[in-house]
Amino acid sequence: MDQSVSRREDDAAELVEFEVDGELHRAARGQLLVEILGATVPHVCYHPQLGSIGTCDTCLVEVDGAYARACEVTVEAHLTVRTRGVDLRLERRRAGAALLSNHELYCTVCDNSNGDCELHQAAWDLELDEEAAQFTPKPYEVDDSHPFYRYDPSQCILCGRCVQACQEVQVNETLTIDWSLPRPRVLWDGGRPAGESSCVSCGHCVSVCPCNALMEKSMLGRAGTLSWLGDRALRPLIELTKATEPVIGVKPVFALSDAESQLRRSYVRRTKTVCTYCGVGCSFDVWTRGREVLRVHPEHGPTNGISTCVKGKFGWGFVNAPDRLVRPLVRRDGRFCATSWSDALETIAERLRAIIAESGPDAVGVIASSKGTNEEAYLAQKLARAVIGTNNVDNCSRYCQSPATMGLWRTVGYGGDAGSVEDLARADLVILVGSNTAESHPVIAARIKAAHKQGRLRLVVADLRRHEMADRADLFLRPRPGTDLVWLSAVTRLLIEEGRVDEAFVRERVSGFEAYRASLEPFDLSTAERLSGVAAADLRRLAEMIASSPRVAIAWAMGVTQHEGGSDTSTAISNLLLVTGNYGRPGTGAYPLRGHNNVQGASDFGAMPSYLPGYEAVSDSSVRAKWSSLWGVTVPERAGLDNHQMIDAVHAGALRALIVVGEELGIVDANALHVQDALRRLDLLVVSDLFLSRTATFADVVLPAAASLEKEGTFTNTERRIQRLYQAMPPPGEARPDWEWLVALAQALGAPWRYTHPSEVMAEAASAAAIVAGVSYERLEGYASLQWPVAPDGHDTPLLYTQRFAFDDGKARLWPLEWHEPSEQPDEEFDLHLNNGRLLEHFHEGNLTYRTAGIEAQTPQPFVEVSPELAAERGLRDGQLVRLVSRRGAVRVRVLVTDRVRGRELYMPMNGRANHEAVNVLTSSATDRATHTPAFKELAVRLEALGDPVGVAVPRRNWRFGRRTPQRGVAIEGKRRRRDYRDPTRSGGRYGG
Amino acid sequence: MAEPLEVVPSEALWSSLEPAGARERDRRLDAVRRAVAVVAERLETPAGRRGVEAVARLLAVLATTSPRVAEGLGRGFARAAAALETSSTPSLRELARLTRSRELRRGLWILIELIAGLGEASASASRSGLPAGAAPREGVTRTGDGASDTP
Ligand code: SF4
Ligand code: SF4
Ligand code: SF4
Ligand code: FES
Repeated sequence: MDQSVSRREDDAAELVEFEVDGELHRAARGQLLVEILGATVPHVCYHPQLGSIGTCDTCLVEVDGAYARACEVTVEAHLTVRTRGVDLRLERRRAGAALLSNHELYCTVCDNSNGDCELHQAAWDLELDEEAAQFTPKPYEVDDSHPFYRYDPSQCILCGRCVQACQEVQVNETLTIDWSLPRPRVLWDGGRPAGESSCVSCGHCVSVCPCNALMEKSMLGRAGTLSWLGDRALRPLIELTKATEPVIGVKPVFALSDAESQLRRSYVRRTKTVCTYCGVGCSFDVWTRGREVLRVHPEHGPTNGISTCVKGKFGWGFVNAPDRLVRPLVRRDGRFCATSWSDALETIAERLRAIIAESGPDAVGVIASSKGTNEEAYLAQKLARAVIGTNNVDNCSRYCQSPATMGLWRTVGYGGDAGSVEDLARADLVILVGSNTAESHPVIAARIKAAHKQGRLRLVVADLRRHEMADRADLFLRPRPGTDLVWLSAVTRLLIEEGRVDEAFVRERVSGFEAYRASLEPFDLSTAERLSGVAAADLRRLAEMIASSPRVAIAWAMGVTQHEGGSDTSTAISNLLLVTGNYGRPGTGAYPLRGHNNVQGASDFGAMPSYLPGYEAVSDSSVRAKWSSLWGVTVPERAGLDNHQMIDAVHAGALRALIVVGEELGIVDANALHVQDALRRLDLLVVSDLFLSRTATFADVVLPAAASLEKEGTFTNTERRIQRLYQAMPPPGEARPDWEWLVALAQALGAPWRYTHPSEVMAEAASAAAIVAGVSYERLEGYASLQWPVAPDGHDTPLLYTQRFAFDDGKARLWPLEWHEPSEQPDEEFDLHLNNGRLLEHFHEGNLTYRTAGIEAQTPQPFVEVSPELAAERGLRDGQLVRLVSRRGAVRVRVLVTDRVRGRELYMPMNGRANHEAVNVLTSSATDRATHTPAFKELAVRLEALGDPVGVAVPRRNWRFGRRTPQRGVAIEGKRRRRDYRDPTRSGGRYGG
Repeated sequence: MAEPLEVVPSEALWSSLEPAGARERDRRLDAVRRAVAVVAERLETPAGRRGVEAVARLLAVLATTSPRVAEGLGRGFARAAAALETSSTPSLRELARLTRSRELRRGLWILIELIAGLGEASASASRSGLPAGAAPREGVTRTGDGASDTP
């Protein structure tokens, strides 16, 4: 993405010498001149993460005697560069004036004047004044139609950054500039209102706009000392500023606004945080004024840079939702009563003591949160093991990621991504299996899409649905549900048969090849075609693509894991990578895309029944001895129950108390009614959450939790990257971070816990768990991050397996597999297959995202995608209400007719918060054979049309109905062809024309 | 059997606490009123005028610009002083009525807010032991600093 940076890396070895203003410089060949010159020359359209755009001309320099844009010159040996001189200054001022002819300067009252307005700075550097810049407004209305941002054409300097970001970084291809208009402007889908376009609200364009033309609505009228006064007061101020300017000059006016922008810093706080939603782990500054979130500003995040998706950029409405819980609740006499923390904790402690006394510690279970911090996961498992005395502790990776981890444990040793997101973008071939990446891991998708658009990689997608990534793929495979293992194994077998394995790699770094080869016997191409429905020719083509690509990476998600054979398919992916030598080099490896922000970390820090922190096995007596001595207790030896087993144990009467840290298992676990029935039967249910979730409605004690913005700690993203989040605001009312009440509860149960800050928890974990040995808060300061395993000296491991695999002999293990038919198949009664998963704009059931008004307005409810064929066959119309019935339950949702699904396959997103619309009322208790992850994706239903009036499944203004306008960058030729454009690079230079 | 309970007592909900936005607006309105009062009072005395000049100088230092900045601002303050000569402590609405000339009214807003802001800044600076205006330099140095308050 950061083209200059990657160029720099590629050419790092080759330094060249060149001259700037008579002084000798040295830099890597190919680096952009503008990067080297830095502040020496102004540059408005250039942004290091966007690359060259070439619209503003303010960076003009002379190179070898001819004028050139510094952002378009790559460094070569012996260049002679001139940056000074009246001629250059004049040209730059002319360019700057052209920008200001499109932008009215009213910085003092502008919400973008926060000390980092790049246009303001350029105007200052170029010493532009009112006279130099003849502003005239453009003949277009302000576009206010988008829920999250507004576009003011009259303030738009036509730098094209937004277009470049949308076309080349996010690759949503919504924005263009129509250079042919008398007054060019930015267009959405070629001329739609922004709020009715294909815009997915990722916010890239807003984040990179160098002025106030594109602004977050949450900033408007809130950021400035004066801007809150409203339009009636603002206009006079703008006029005053302009009237004063000729008298006192532009600099004092700028100075005034600079001073004012400093004042803003006294009440607008910028805090680095990490996104609370998905496993990509975007980090950014959140700007807050009191409890108001003004803006999310991404720039320095190690994974995301300037990138975000709608949830991280705009989805913070839940923080101040009126139904946030601010006091603990205790169930008394059939109703919830607000109470004090001491009463709530004493109630919990007393009941736990009684249950443990009657039924033993294994009658209690703890479910940690993969939304919470690493430190909270660590304390939750420590509470279970060291205070309560049970290994019954788990987290929601059980619902999604455990099979991927199992596949990697079996074959390569570590249960984490082999490399970084950067490696996915560096691969020559990326294969996505069962992952709707553009919606579930949007920023990772953006990296893949960008590399693909720039022709740097080929893309293969295997999925039931024709989603965006499938549309973009060079090869799209559409296997029958539950047959991924078959086609993956068939391709592997073909590669072996054709002698296209990496023999040296297999010989030196892998064991078990012969047994594995024998296990592939059943997976010939014709059998694979018959079972999976994927044409043999496509499988041949895929094998060819793999064999001809030096670097192959495979990413997968819930479409693989949430099956009875989820672990086996994950293993098959890793097997394929091993025989082709695709591990341990940049651009290669296995990438299970983790779902929640901290699903990786919750497992890493021991919230699993069989593993202590750092994946140290409970069954190993030396491991138990180590942790027992650290904690001053005896870590129980008895195997613990996972989430799924805990629910069964409740039904069996063996588990009587459950402590749930912020998990909505009542809706997100499969066979939800069965789970809710278990919650009903518990003698004690404790739930901490921001809201009264469905799970919390069954609780005996509900604890008001703090949001990620309200606490400190660390999250670990899908790349094993540990990052710090800082407190941006205090929790409301009496809400508390989970770590605080976990400590208080342990103390109420008699444990001498003394943590006063999460850093102490991390220090304790690091002192004993080898994979995080070198992790400390100091090493994670600000935007610093560490990818585990982290050696005691702080060295981390962005790329795994470069020398050895994580087994004692250092060799990877090929793991023979068999394929089993999914047990739940469509039959006469339940004749349709119902696939399910996430939506871009909602996170899971939507407890957080529905509380952002703009998200709710665009996507107010779940729906069911029905193929045009099936709709025609059943006479179904778009927006019609239907009942979906499975062997477990029934839901009512509206139909969305779309060719994203085909034939008798349906798709229903999981953003249902109530039983009548939640897909998990339908799903079964069948699980992955190795890990007990529910087989959410194996689901047969029947569809009953209901007579109710036709309504709206998805509002037409939703981005799904937009029409993208793909092009390369800003299509700069359009600007340079204009008659009124004078190209300074053609106008001179000492030897120029 | 614990049947699901859907009702939360209102005192346990965020909506029962004073909405933050409203509180913030009130706080700012108060700050502006207080600032107006201070301006009105102090501008009537020579010491007050010196104070205002000091503010102007401070702004000039903050912005690292020519003495003309201070001059320009000084003029602005002087005009504000003129507008406030006859005033006691006006409310915002009264203030708008107070100044007949549109020019003055406009200038006044800037000054009032600046002073209110400076008041806040100096209050927080005195809490942190820094002189007023000695706070973040990034704001007036190169842009794109995007400096997070986080270390
Ligand atoms: S998709 Fe929308 S928010 Fe994202 S860059 Fe494009 S126009 Fe901007
Ligand atoms: S809206 Fe786009 S083209 Fe206009 S100033 Fe902002 S980034 Fe540049
Ligand atoms: S939800 Fe995921 S992709 Fe979106 S901003 Fe958050 S971490 Fe990034
Ligand atoms: S920065 Fe080079 S043309 Fe804009």
